[in-house]
Amino acid sequence: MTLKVEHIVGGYSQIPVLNDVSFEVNNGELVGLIGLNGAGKSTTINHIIGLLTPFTGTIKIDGVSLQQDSEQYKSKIAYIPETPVLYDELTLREHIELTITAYRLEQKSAWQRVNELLELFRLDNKLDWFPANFSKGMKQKVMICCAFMTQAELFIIDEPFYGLDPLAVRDLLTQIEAVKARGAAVLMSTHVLDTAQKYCDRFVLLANGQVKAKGTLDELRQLGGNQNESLDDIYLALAKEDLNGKTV
Amino acid sequence: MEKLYNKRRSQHFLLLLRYWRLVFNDHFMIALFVFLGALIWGYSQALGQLKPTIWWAKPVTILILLVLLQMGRLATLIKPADPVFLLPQSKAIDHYLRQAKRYSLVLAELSVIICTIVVMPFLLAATVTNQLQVILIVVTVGVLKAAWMDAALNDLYEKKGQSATNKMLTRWLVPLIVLMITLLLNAIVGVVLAVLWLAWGKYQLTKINKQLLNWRLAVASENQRMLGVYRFFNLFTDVPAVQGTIHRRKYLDFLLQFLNRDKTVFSYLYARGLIRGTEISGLILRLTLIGMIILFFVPEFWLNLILFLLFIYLISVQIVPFYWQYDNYVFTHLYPIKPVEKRRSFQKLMVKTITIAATLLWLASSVTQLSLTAMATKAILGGVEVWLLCGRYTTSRIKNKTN
Repeated sequence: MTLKVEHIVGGYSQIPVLNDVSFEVNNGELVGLIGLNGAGKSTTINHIIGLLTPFTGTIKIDGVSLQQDSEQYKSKIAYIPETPVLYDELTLREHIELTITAYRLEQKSAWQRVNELLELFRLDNKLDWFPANFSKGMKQKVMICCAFMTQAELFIIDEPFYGLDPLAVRDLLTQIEAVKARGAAVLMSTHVLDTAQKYCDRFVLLANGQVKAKGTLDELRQLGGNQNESLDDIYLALAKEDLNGKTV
Repeated sequence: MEKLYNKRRSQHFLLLLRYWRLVFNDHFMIALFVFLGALIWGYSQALGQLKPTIWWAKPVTILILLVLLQMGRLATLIKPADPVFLLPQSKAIDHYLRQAKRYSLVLAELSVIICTIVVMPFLLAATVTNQLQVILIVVTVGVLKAAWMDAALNDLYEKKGQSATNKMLTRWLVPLIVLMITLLLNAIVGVVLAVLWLAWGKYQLTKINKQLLNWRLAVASENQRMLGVYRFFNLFTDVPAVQGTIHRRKYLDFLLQFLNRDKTVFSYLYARGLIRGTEISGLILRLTLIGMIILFFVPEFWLNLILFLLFIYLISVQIVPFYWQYDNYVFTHLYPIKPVEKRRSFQKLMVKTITIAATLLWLASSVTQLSLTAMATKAILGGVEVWLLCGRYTTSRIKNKTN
C-alpha cells in the first residue's frame, strides 16, 4: 500500500498554492508532514483526499488515481480532520453505523473493533449522545474511533493532537503503531515536533508550497550539517530561511 | 452609541432588503398572491353570511387581538460579541436600547394596527358594535403594544424574582384583561386602563438606569428574534444562518425505519436529518397544516383543486434544498460511493414525504367534498404532480445547481 504524490501543482482558485510537490508514503510507514501555518499542509491533504483537483501532477494510491476509480481510491482512505466534523442529527452509535454502511464493513467484526476503541477513549457509555453534548476533545476522539474502525490502508491525520488530553495522545499513537504494524501507511501533519520526532519514520518539510526537505531524521540532519540537531532546530532553521525569503 | 445603533440599523435594513428582493424575485410569489387572493375572497364571502349576534365572535376577537399584540418584537440588534467589546460602555447602552425600542415600536405599531383594522369588519358584522367603539378598540390595541414594548425592554435588565411569570403577566395576562374590559364591558374604560398600564410601564423604565443589563439574556433574545426573521425568509430562499435545533424524537423511530428502508449512506443521513432537525420538518409540517385548514374551508371545487395542487408544489419546492444539507461535511465527499446514489436516495425520501403530505391534504379537502369524481380527480392529478415534481423537476434542479 503506497501513496505516491508526483509533481503536484494545485490550490483553491487559479493561483497555485502548491508548487511541484512530490513525496511518497510506503507500507507500514508513518510520515510527518511538517510546515508553518500556511505552508500548504492542509492544501496537500485536501488534494490527496480528493476535495481539490490538482492543476497538474498525479496522486495515486496503489497505482490507482481518483479519476481512474473514485470508489476504489476513496475506500482505501481514512481521514481525521483538523477540526472535528460530526453530524448534528446523529448519535455516536449512528455515526458508527453510518461509517459501517459507507465503507461496507462487516457488522460484527467492525463493532468488535470499535467497541475496543470506544472503551480505550472512554466513550463506551456515550453511545446515545448527540455531538452537541461532546467537548472538543471528545469530538476529536469520535473522529479517531470512526477512522480506525475502518480497515483503511492509508490514514491521513491532520493536526491530531490539538484538544486531546495526554492519555488520549498516547492512545492515539498506540493506534497508529498498530495500523502501521498491520501494513497501513500513515500521513500525519503536525506542529508538535518533539512527538513527531519520536514517532515518525520520515518527514516531509513544506514551506511556501514547496517541499524544502524530505527523509529520515538522520538524512535531514545531514542536510543541515549538524548530527545533534533536533527536528525542532531543523524546522526553526527552515522557518527562518522562509521568513528571510519573504522579507527580501 | 447613537452612531453605533444607526449604523447597525442601516446594516440590518440592507440585510432585510437583500432577502426581500430574493423573496419577491421568486416565481413562488405568484403562488402567494393567488393564495392571498383566495384568502381575501374567502374572508369577504364569509363576512357576508354572518348575522349579529354570534356569541363566540367577541371571545374569538379578543384572542386574535391578544395574539396580534405579540407581533413585532424588540429589535435590539445586539451581537454576541457585544458583552465583550461594549462592557466598558454598560451605562451608555441604556441610551442605545431606548433608541432601539423607539425604532422597533414604530414598525410594530404599524403592523399591529393594520392587522387590527383587518379584524374589525368581522366584529362589525358579527356583533352589535358602533364605529366609535371600533376606533377605541384600535386605540387600545395601539397603547397596549407600546406598553408591551416597554415591558420587553424592562425585561432585559437584571431583576430579582421570576422573569418567566413576569413575562407572562406583562405580555399576556394584563393585555388579556384590558382587551376583555374593552370589548365586553366598556371601550372607554378599556382605553383609560391601557393608558394607565402604559404609564406604569414608563415609570418602571425610569428605574432601569440603576439596574444592570442582563447581557446573556439580551444576546439570547436577539438571537432568537433574528432566527425568527431568518426562518421567515427561509420559507422562500436558502438562509445560511438557519440551522435549528436537534431533538431525539424517539417516538418517530418507526418513520426512520420507513424512510431508511434501502439503507444507503444518504438515506440514513437524510432520514435522520429530516426527522430530528426542526427546520425542514417544521416547514413541511406547517405548510401541510395550513394547507389542510385552507382546503377544509374552501368549498368551491375549482379553487379547492388549484389550492390542493399549489400546496403540493409549495412543499416540494421547499424540500429540494435539503439535498445540499450535508455538502459542508467533508466526509460526505470521502465515502466510497457513487454520486448518483445520493440523488436516488434523496428522491426516494422526497417521494415518501410528499406522498404523506399530499395524502393529508387530499383527506382534508375531501371532507367537505365527498363526491367521488372530485376525490378521484384530485387523487389522479395530485399523483401525477408528485411524480413529476419528485422526478424530473428535482433532477433538473439538482443538475442546474451542480453545474
